[in-house]
Amino acid sequence: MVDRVFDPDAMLDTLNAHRVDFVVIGGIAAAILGAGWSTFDLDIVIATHDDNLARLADALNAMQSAYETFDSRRIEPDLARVRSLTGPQLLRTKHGRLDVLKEAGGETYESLSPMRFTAPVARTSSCRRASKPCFE
Amino acid sequence: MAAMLDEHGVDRGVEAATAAMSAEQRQQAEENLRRLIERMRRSARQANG
Repeated sequence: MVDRVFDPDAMLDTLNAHRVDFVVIGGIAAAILGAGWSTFDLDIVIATHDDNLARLADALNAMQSAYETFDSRRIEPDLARVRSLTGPQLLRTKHGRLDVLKEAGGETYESLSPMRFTAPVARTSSCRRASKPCFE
Repeated sequence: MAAMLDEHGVDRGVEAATAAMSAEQRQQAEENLRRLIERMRRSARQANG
C-alpha cells in the first residue's frame, strides 16, 4: 500500500541521487516559508531538457512509481510518458505522493531557479539540485 | 493522469490517501514532514543571512 506513507526526505534523496533538476513548490514550499499548513504530497517542477527527463524516469522507477488513476490499472511513468505528458503527473511512489509538473502557473524550472536557496538533504552528504524553497 | 484534479485544481488523490492512513501512519507522516520543514527553514534562514 504505497499510499499510506509519506517520507518526503526519501523522495528528495532519490531525486538527488539520480541528479534530477527540480524545484519544490506547493504546500511544502509554502510551509518552509512559514505557512501553517501543508498536505502529504511533494510537488516539484522539473527541468524539461531530455537528459533530465531520462534521469527523472530512472528516479521514478527507483521509487516504484505509478500514475494515480481512478481504477486499478497500474501505469508506470516510463520515459515516453514522462516526455510526452504536458499536465501534472500525479504519482504514487513507495515513499508517498509525488506530483511532477513541467510548469506551474506559467512558472518553469528556469524561471523559478533564480529564487532558490540551497539546503542539505537528509540522507546524502550534499545535494546537487535546487528547488524553491529549494534543495540543491 | 490529471483526472484526479477537481475543477479547482485540487488533488483529490492526496485527500483520499490521507484519509486512508491509520493514526500511526498519519503520525509518522506528520513527523517526517515536520523534520523536513524544520531543517529547510533553518537552511532558508541561513541562506537569507
